Amino acid sequence: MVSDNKVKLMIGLLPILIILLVGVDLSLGEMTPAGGWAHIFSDSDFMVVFINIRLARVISAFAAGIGLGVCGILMQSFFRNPLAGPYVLGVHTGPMVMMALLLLGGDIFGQNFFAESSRIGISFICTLGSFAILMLLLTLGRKFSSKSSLLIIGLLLSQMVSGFINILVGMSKAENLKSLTLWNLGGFERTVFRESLFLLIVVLFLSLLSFILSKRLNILLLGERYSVTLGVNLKKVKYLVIVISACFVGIITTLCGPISFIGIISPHIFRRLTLCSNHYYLIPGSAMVGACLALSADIIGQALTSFYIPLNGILGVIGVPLIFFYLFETREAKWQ
Amino acid sequence: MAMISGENLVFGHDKALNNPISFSLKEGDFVCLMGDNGVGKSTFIETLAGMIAPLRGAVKLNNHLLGNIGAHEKAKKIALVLTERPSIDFLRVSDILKMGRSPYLDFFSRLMDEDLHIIEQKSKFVGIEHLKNKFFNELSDGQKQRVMIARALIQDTPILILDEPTSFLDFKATADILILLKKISVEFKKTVLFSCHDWNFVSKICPHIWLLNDKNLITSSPEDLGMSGLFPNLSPALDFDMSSFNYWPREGQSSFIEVNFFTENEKANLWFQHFCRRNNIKRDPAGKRLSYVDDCWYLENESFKDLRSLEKALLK
Repeated sequence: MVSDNKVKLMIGLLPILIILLVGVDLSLGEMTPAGGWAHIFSDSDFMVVFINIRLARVISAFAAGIGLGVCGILMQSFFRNPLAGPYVLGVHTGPMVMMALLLLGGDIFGQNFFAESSRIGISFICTLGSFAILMLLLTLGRKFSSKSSLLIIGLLLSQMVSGFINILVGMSKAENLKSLTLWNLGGFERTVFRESLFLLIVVLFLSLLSFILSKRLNILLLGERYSVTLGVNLKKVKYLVIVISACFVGIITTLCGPISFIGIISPHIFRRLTLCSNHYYLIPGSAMVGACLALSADIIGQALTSFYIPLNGILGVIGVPLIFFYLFETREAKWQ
Repeated sequence: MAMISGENLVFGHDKALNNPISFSLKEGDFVCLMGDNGVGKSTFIETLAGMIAPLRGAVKLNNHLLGNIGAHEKAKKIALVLTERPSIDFLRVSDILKMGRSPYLDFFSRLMDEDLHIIEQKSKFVGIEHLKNKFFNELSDGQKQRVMIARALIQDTPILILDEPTSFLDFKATADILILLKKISVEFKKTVLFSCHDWNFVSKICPHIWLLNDKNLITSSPEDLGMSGLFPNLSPALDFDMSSFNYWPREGQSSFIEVNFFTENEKANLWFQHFCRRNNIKRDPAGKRLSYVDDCWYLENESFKDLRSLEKALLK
């Protein structure tokens, strides 16, 4: 089978690419160890910077990429919609509201919730936000059958949420607004080492849980009714997918900001390269493509210009044309 | 022994669609479910397969209440072919066939020799082994239906239920699928229940017909339905022609042209009957004399190369 070999080749090549990107990303920055890279461990000042800034940043880019890649494939398979993804459907807006409430709450309610809790704690609150948005999407999406209506529902929900955030913004002071705006741009540079390790562990655990769902997600490709006749407990799968996706989006968004397009694009890139729709391969494959994209975006942001280009700037400029490409490509394929 | 039985069953999604009905489906039965659109055939099928619970009464599988049987166990007893089709890019026929084995597979969906053998054997039987490496979306409707039937066979259940397996199919594909179903029921001694609208074809291959009519289920044979007059006279716009067991549109007002026809050619005789029936032409010994000699039609002394040109001349 030709496609099987393609899949195995890609699964083998992607880790090498990730290692290369990790190496490049780690070496970027103004500081170099005294006496060159060979003496990296003897320069203790450099090690502090290296671990707390660069390593933390690379680990969070790697983890966020994996998480978004897996989240993308989960949502696309569950909604059976190639255009589904955490950012496109507006799942990130749940955490955004929570963040806005926490960051700007001090100005409005006279008490700043953000100051007293760690960002890891906040990530759990934000998970509730993404869970709420996913449940809304699920209930509203049920009422419509067309694939694009899900996108429109996602868009409308995002609009509603940003309206709400705008109200909060109008009521707050300038210095708090800046931190919200910075967070909104997305980026891996603001996580400290402890947070990035937390992110990595959670993401790997959630990815493993998703991988366990592979068999059921494969059957789900036939359609919901068929999967019931094949003995799949649809309710269980539904709640697992929703909870896992909500955790992915909630935690990644809290720590790295709302990151656009990696979630929707990663599964498509891997599928297109391998022509495979088997989740046993799709989940690890999409995870690795996601990690490559996140690391590349981080590298481009640092290396291209003297100032740092925000993550969502790069991803938006590259991501949207990729989605257009996908839409036109599939439309042509349908007519052939 | 009855495999599936219903006792005072009332089905429907929210509102009852029928009066309480009782029935039983035995091993090896080949049954066609008929009834008008919207009468609840699909809902009946979903209830039989345990996808929705009965509103009242009970469905039993081998004398156990269907609702008490776990989804996994049920998947080894009843296989379904539904009207919906997967429309996912990059989904290969072999992937779909493999899913038929999933109730028997472990966590990693590894296929054992036995699984591979069943997939091989059943896809050959259905005649799709050459399509294995194709993408499902590339196939024609008839091929897609065959793949879905093969998948259900690979599920290796004693009962096979199909919801309108011939919808959207052309005449040839419809015939092929129905003959395939009959073959499946005979070869594998499976209990097959399917819904279909094609009375002309079904009545010729199906010993049992279940007719959902006026909120009741009538279990009968094609001939008994014909005798009872319930089928085949459902539409006021149609007449059933007893000599050909075929439907004709009920005759409207049209001109009668009287023709007298002689030929020894059996085929020409039959098709001229068809021609007359379609055009409401009455055959009368005193009418104009038509004959068929050497592939040519002659009306009195005028010659016509085919019936189409004759029709033009007669009806102008």
